[in-house]
Amino acid sequence: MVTWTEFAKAEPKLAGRGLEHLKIPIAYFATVRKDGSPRLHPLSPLFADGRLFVAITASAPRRHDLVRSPRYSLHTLPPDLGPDYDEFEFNVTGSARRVTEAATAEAVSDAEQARSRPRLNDDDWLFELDIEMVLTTTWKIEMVKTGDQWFPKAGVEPQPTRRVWRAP
Amino acid sequence: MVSEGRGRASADAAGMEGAVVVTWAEFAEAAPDLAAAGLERIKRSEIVLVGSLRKDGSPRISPVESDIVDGDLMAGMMWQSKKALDLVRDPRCVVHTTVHDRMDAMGEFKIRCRAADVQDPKKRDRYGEVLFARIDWRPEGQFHLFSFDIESVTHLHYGDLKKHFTMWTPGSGLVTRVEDP
Repeated sequence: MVTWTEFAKAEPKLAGRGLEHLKIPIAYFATVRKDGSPRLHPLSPLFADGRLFVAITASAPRRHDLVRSPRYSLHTLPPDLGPDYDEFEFNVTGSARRVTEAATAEAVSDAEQARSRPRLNDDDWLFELDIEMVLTTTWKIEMVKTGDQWFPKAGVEPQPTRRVWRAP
Repeated sequence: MVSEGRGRASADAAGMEGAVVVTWAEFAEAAPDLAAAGLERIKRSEIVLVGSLRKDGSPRISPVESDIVDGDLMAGMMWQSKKALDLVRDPRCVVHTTVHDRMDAMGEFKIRCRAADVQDPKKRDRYGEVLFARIDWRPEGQFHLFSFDIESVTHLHYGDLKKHFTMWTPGSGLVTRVEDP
């Protein structure tokens, strides 16, 4: 498993595009519930010092998921439909580690503030996401305009281009 | 509330105590407003995110297109795709509508489900018809088709600076809760 920086060093272009999408600003995060079934929720991934984090509020039952079972999956949402729309999926999987050092929480808060977003709450649970695998899927899609909205052209089955990057 | 005997107990692959599940139509009959709002959400974004379990028990997220076919919430998946194999192995999953920002007015729907592997040729054909009517395309050859049997539906949205939860289960009906965000 590697940090975001190590991944970005190995795959700078991919990491750049991924970062753009992860900051859309919502991505989806999957964990495993106590009963073993999957849980999904939208969140904003956090970046500081070249590391990737998520913060979970102190009242959410899901904060225990990662302590029990650290495996996570983080998936970007497709952007809004438009003329140059190419669907790009960026998925990161690996293992999450709870971070309790005040200095790290401070660095994350500073980074969030720098992009005009709220600082962490004192009781948020902060987790660093170590990366095992990054999966990207690109769908070339032909768009057509109907009224003032863009839609994928009907009757065409887009073909995905997939790429897998695994941490050494 | 679902009347006596409507819900069915589902057996899951792990042989654990089955949860009571209902079809989308049964959910919609019991909680019409919530179902209508959920359906609008699903139709608007055209994709939902499905959370499934990999072989090693870790979570997977996959965007899929979903349709209501004769009262069932369904999704077709590429033959032998990893997400489909996940659901064949362990039917426990969550279907989640997409949101685009934190304060998305329509909110988000989380549907906890058991995925049933649909083999009935008539149902598969109906799925193809419904899909074709929507996007002028239907899968040819082999594909996986799942119908999602519903254990619970949660709607979460923000309004009046509060967080509003509405949860529906076949056993307890609608439960709502309002919290400070």
